[in-house]
Amino acid sequence: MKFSIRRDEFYEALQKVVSVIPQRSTISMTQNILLSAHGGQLELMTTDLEITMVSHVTAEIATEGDIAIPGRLVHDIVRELPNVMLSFSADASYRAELRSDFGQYKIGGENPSDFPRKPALDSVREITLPNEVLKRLIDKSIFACSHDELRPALTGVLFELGENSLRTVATDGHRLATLFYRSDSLPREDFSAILSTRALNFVMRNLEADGVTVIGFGPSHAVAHMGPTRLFARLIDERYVNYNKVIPPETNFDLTVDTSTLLASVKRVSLFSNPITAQVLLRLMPNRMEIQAEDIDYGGEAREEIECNYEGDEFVIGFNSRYLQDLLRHIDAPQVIFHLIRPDFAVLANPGDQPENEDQLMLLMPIRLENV
Amino acid sequence: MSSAAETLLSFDPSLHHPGAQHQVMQAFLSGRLPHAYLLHGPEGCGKARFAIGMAELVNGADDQGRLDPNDAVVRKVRHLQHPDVQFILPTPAQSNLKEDELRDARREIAANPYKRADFGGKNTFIGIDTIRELKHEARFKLYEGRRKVFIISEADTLRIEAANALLKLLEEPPDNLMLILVTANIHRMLPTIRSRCQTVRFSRLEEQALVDILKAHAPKADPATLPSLARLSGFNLKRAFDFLNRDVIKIRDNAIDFLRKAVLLHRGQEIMQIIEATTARRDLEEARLLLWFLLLWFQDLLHLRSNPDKSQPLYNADQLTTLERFMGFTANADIAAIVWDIEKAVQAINDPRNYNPQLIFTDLAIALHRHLRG
Repeated sequence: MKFSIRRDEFYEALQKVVSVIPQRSTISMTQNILLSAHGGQLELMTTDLEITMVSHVTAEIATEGDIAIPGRLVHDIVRELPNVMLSFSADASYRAELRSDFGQYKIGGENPSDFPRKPALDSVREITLPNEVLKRLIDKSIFACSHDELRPALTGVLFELGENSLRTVATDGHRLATLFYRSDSLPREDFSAILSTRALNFVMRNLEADGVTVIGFGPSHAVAHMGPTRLFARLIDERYVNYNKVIPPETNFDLTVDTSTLLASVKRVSLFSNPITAQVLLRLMPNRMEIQAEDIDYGGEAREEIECNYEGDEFVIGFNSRYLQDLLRHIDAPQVIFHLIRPDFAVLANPGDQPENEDQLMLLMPIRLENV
Repeated sequence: MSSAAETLLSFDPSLHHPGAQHQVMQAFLSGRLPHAYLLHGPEGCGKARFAIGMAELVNGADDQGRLDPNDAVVRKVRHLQHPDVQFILPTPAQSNLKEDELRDARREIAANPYKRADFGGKNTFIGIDTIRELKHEARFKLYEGRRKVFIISEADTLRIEAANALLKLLEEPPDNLMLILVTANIHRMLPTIRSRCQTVRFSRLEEQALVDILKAHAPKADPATLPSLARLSGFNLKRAFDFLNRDVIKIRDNAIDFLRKAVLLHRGQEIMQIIEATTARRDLEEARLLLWFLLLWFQDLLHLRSNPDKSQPLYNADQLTTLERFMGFTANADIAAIVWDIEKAVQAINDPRNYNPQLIFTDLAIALHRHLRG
């Protein structure tokens, strides 16, 4: 294997993949980067078995071949070099040499056939999404994922393809967040896959502001094509809960309130809530709402009143303030609409106005109150 | 269903243990591999290598259970580099472990799974973090294989909280997962774990099998010494590989010398010289080995007493004449009491309270003298 490449181009490709290399792993091969030089292209691949990154860069390839070499070491050497021409070669026993104007660096490599295979994407279902939409689909759901490893499905985000539509869903059992996106460019078939939060955070970090991303769903992996980089995410092998069952089909009262006003108020008042329960109470009255919290242990208490649009019955409903703040932070519209049934029933929320082809819906379970 | 004439099914003859191979192969061919196996038997009989062989079978064999050792999947599993096969071994606490140490230990195990993982004598165990990582891995779909295989070597070193965390995985394992727990101390395992696994019992390997494995993994060792090493290790491969780096024949001869001098206790100066030389090193490894060889010596004596026709293999077969002379000399000695005293010395040497090793050996010499001279 032998190729030459400019330092800046090599470093840019290395940077895209090096962050996936795990700090420690039971599979020592994952500490390596797989370099494959074929047909004028150098392919770089790293994996931590959950996320696999593949990047391509053009190089002058004298002899085709593959090698697995210590990823961080190569990255660190190349990082310290100025933008000169680099020459890389490896022999049949996987001893590699990197040459520059400054000198040469000998690196012990390993057999590339021991490196985890590039995920196969047979019978892949591909969709194309504008980056901005993909970002919103992830961002508006991922915060509601569970951290409970006993319920693996809930630790990821469900991607649910329907007829010309895609829905992302996340829930931790206390709240649920979903964003529905409709587009004629989406396929007319039903399919679903659960992606881990870690993989989706990687996608979000690597997404360009503009442009489109092609996402493919295979039997065991999903892939996001982001320019010259492809990110493979291993799917979670669980059946997702029937989330539709918890969404009440009808509600009794609607409450419309200014999103930023309510968020600011909840932030202030929740400073006085009990740190364990983080409970805040919303006392709903015609066209106004009282937000209150108290910490009996320390004697702190806070109470604020804000205006809202509400014509229903008076009642008090309690929420975990952290969940309520999360919900409000993920509403982009100036106003948020809550749909209520009873103080001990799930509350639905959605933005006051949203794009025509989107439907954002959040569900929040209230805290059961006694003696209020 | 099985007749005496029936040939045992096997997937890799180099793994030995035909009975265990037959049990696993039957399950494989009928498509009824259980979710969890517990391989148990004496230390150093190749259970961990057998577990790796099972992972090769599950991921690399054809429908008939045939394995091609040159197949890329089989190679990956054998090198512990297959993304769907996790090999867990006890390690020192994270705070006491360098990343290089772990990597080197894993590399050595991949090259020779019969060997003991070396962490420089540090206390090792399997902690809850390791099991959490396994559970994290268990939730994903397969990477490239047919079935995920998690091998937990020395599973009796699971900390209680780790064992309980593992229990959850055993109770509700994902469909595509097979757990293989390996232990030489099955009675140290939680009954709740034992009851959720299909057990496969292993026996110690025959001398020739040990010699073959030693030859294959230590090509530089003198082949003439390998049968002695195999016997003196108590037919324990881990110990036999430890012995390759030591002049164990000399230590065994020292043990016999110690015994002779203990009988003639009036030559106290000479016995003290042996004790001082044996306990000089800080790690006391030589002292432990000397006690081990004393135990083997008296086990051989018992074998000779009960089987004068020497039908059972002796650990010290190369010292048969000396053994027979010694047996004649100690015809009335209470061997059980002697073994008990040596066991007490072993416990004292391993006691964390750091008893004075010279005193332990002096005490033992006096006890041996009392038993052997009446």
